[in-house]
Amino acid sequence: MKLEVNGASRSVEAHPDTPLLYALRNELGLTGSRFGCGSGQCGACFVLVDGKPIASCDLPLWSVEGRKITTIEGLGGRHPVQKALVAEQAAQCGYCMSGIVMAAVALLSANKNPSDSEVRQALDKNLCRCGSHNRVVRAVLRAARNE
Amino acid sequence: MTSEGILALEDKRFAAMMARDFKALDALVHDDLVYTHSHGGGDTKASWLDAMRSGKTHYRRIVAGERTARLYGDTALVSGKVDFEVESAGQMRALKLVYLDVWAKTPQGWKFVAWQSTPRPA
Repeated sequence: MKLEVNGASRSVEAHPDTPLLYALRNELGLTGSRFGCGSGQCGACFVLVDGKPIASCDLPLWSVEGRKITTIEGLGGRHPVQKALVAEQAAQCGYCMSGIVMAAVALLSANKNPSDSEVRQALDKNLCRCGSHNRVVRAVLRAARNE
Repeated sequence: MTSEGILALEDKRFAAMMARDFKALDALVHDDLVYTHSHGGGDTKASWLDAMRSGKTHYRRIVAGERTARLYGDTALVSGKVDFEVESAGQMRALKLVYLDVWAKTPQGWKFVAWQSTPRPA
């Protein structure tokens, strides 16, 4: 199958029913998106599909053919959200962070000046077992100010 | 009953789920079914079949992987891998699972009585 990932056309040899996350990690070596719950409920595997944050762990490949997929690698490491997360020392173990970054990037693309409650609502689907949520919210607000 | 016979019943159940053959499912499923989904939610026989009947859950494709069936008297345990493509509340989901399920011998034949699955990591 052909996928458009981070602006490039990529071929993967996988059944169309394979979840996108498995193709990203195992076929394309894009291991920044994490496996968390495996059932679309924790946000660790979020990628952007046509600009919207979507869980990739249970998203069949056939449903994303021809759509623009952006992973954490596609942000280049210097996105304002990433810099703000570092500045706020938001991450603890960091496992959930790539999914949080993708949700925050989608939020700031649609809303340049979100309120605290809008940030919390946008990140509602991202679980962090370390309890870093408040630092993450501060970081996203910082990114909005600096963007 | 043999291990192969239990796996054949399992395949029959998977086929009935995909075909939404509720007559076959009713015959294969024990009234005491405990169905624990990979997300932790649970169903009884009635609620599991109702979810399929109503269209809330539609198992579009089921591909069984490596499996082992073990018999202990009137009980059989199946452990293995399975891939589901399921439409759940209008959203297509592709699930790669490992599972353990239980079949029990009853006067009406062998019945599917328990299911427990968990996602396989990417």
